[in-house]
Amino acid sequence: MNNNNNNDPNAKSSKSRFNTSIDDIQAKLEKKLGPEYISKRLGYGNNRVAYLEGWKAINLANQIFGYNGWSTEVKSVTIDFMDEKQGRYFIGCTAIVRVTLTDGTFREDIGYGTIDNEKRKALAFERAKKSAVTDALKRSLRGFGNALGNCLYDKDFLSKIDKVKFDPPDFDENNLLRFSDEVPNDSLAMSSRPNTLSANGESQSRQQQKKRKIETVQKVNIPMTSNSKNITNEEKNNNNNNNFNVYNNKKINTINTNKADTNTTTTNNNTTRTGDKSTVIAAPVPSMTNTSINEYIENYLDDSLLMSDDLPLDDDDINTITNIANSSNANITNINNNNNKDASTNADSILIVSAKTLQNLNDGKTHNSNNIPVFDHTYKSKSIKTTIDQSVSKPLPRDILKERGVTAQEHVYNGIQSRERNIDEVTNANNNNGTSINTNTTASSATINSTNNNSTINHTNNNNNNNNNTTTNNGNPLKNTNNNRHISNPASNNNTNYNAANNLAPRKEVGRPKIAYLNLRNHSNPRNTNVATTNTTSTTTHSSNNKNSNNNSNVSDKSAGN
Amino acid sequence: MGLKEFDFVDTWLNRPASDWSLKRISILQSKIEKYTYKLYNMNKFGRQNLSKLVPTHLILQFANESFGFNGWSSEIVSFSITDIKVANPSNDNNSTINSKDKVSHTNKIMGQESTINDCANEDQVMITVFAESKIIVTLKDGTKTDSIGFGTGTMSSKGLALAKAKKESVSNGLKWAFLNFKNLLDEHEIKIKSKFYKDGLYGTVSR
Repeated sequence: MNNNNNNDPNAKSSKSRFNTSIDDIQAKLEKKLGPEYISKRLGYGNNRVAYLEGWKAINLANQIFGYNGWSTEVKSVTIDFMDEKQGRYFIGCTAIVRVTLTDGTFREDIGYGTIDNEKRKALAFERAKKSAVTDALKRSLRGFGNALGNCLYDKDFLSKIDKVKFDPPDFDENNLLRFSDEVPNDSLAMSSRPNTLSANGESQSRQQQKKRKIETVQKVNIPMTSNSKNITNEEKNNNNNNNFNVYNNKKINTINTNKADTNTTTTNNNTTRTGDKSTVIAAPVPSMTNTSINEYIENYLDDSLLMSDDLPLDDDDINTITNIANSSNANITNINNNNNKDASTNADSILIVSAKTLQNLNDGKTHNSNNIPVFDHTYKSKSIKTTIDQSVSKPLPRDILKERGVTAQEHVYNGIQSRERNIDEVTNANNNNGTSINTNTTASSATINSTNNNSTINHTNNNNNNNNNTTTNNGNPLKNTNNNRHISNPASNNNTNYNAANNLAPRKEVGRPKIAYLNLRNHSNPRNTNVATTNTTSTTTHSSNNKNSNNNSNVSDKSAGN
Repeated sequence: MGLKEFDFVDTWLNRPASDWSLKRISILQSKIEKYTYKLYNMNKFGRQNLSKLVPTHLILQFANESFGFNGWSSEIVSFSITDIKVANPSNDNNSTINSKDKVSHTNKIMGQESTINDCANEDQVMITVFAESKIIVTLKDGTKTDSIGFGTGTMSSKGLALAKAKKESVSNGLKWAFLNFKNLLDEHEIKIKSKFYKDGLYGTVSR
């Protein structure tokens, strides 16, 4: 019996929980606390005081003495004083608590709770008494040894414990006591102690938890080349599992789904467009810790596109990947039988996991360059339902806007010459002009946002001060842009103004503008009041200072001309 | 004539109840002295009070090491606040609330509440609280020591001052209770030298 228990570390630990031998407890009590138990607060005189939280102390006592190894007794709770100043209550409360062990030894100590400035009298009493009792409990537990808080009085220890690193324990869904729980025999051994930090049990239970999560996410799309012939598939079965163990990641194993499942998913998509469904295993770097990998997977392994370039890889990994790719050819042909007939023509196809691998292939290997998948910008995400074509950037059609209840206010246009046309002319005249690009981005961003049905655009309004800059526009992006146009100086709508801008050195702008609402505040410049409002219609973040300066010079040019 | 009529002293107050406690107390004493020896003989500080040299948490640690965590118990026998001073630096009027008779400290403070409040309305009021507690430490075999601990707290807030004074008095009393074991050892040694236990009752020489 004993031998069996010794072989299994989990069984041993579960046994030691009920082991209340005095030497064991004594050894536990003499250990000092780890940094995960120690909290800090600002004490009297702005000193940082280390303390042990009440629930942690109780957990520790349960862990050390056993749940039936100790008991507490409140000897007395007395209110020392209660002051009332202007309807606020100040209460001081003393509590004396005795903690008794099973063999009769006890510790008694005093605790104090103060409440300042509490409006409600009952709440003040409640909090004062509770904190007094908790304080007394902690102080009396402290008498039992270092592990129950006595070490926190040691200043040398405290100065050293700051340098000790620790990973905060994560929330574990599997370790909760649920309503429908009957305690299974196996899990008692494995995950019986929620508050201990045994790395073994934690990783296992987390693994179970992740398994559920990732199986729902298993279908990750890789956009392939424009030819549907170049579909590369990766079959994961037990053979490949062994290969992926190389990556030192247990969680990857949990992505493992049964073969039938993947087959059904792939065969269902026989006649899809270029991006065929295929499951992708993201291979993280071995140097990443387990938890960081978990976070990584949680954050990035979503329904959305997973570009394999997001994952940093070492050269060793690339080699192993290519090895896997070569070795899994047989598997691929397996799929090909099940799968597309187009794909069956390409028995040699491989899985490209990163751009580095791609380059590596181009340099050394003799693979056909046609097989290499390219990013497909026309790919549509299945998880987002869209009513219009998102692959092209153009303004929304009117009927869709009316469907959403977004109506363009015609009367705004009445006094103002249509600026869109002017800008289009300017765009035709000079493509590099900053203002023209500006307004183009306005239109495109408006369309983008309204298609997402959230349709909220944050406009920075430079007329206001910093904090009030962002005005959130709910549901009506077009309206807002119109309003801004209305606010803006009518003189700036003249053709001459924009022509003056043409004379300036063209501003270089490469690529599509990025939209980042949060950064908009930083660029707000209260000096540029009227002119700058033309900028605020755009939601571009980059180089808005440039634009401001541009427009300033516009004004100055104009005034000089007048 | 019953046994009870002798007014039998069954508490082992300040006398060792067994060999176990003698041994363990001497271990504790050696630990304390080992720690304080250098500090106590340093000229830098001068000869200081022993209780100031040893922090309470160290004493508790030594006690746990020598007696075992289940070898001793501590108990608060009585507890009182002896004095509350409200010092107002601006007026330089020290209103002192003295308690000569030891009533329950709660009532006492509640009674004096108004005076404290009057002074506390002004800024920069420092409240000094003196607290006193009696602690009994009992070893596993019944050996007991008791001691009185004092604590003071001077803060601008009354609650904090009270809290500090009370806690300090309790931990001070606990510390002194353990330091008092030295007296127990000394007395025991004297008693052995005077053949207290060997020769009849109370050191009378048997002939």
